[in-house]
Amino acid sequence: MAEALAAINRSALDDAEAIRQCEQLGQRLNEITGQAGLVGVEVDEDLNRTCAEDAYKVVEERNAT
Amino acid sequence: MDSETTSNEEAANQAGAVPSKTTRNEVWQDLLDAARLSRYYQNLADRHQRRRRTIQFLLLAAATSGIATLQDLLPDPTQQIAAAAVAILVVWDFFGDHARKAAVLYAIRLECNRLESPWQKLWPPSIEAP
Repeated sequence: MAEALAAINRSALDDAEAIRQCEQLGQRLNEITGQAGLVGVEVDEDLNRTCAEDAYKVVEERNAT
Repeated sequence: MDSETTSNEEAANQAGAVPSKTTRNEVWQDLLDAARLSRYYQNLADRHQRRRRTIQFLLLAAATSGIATLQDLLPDPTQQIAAAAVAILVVWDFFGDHARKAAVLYAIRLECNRLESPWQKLWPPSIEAP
């Protein structure tokens, strides 16, 4: 019960607030990454795939702990 | 551990305090995106930095008097090839703009890293990845 209460206390953000923050962050991320296209940086799909796999492992591990 | 996490999540959901599964999925995907982009731009920045250094090193080598003297000793076709190679390097450096690209990419990577932190805070603790 105490653990459940702790979980509730730790997770104070409701859906709407989380989504709002997510959208803001996503917008900022798009703005930032758009800069790469402006300086003519090439797109590397293979590298993108490798980084996605690597990021998945790291984020999964980090969130599990 | 799994059953414990699930019971916590159920209790929290009953109280309406934990974001729904859809929201968690969205946070997870966005968090993953930020981590992927951070790695992607780091790798691209490193690549452009390596290209820039290679060009600089080769141009420096070609410009040193020792190499210039050595070129005089080489037969004519070899000298022409060396001169053409230097010209190609200069053009590649000019149009490739690797220094600026590397600087921009490093800046993007830093921003991606900075954005990961607020996303991390949105991720509810004690919950498994979707």
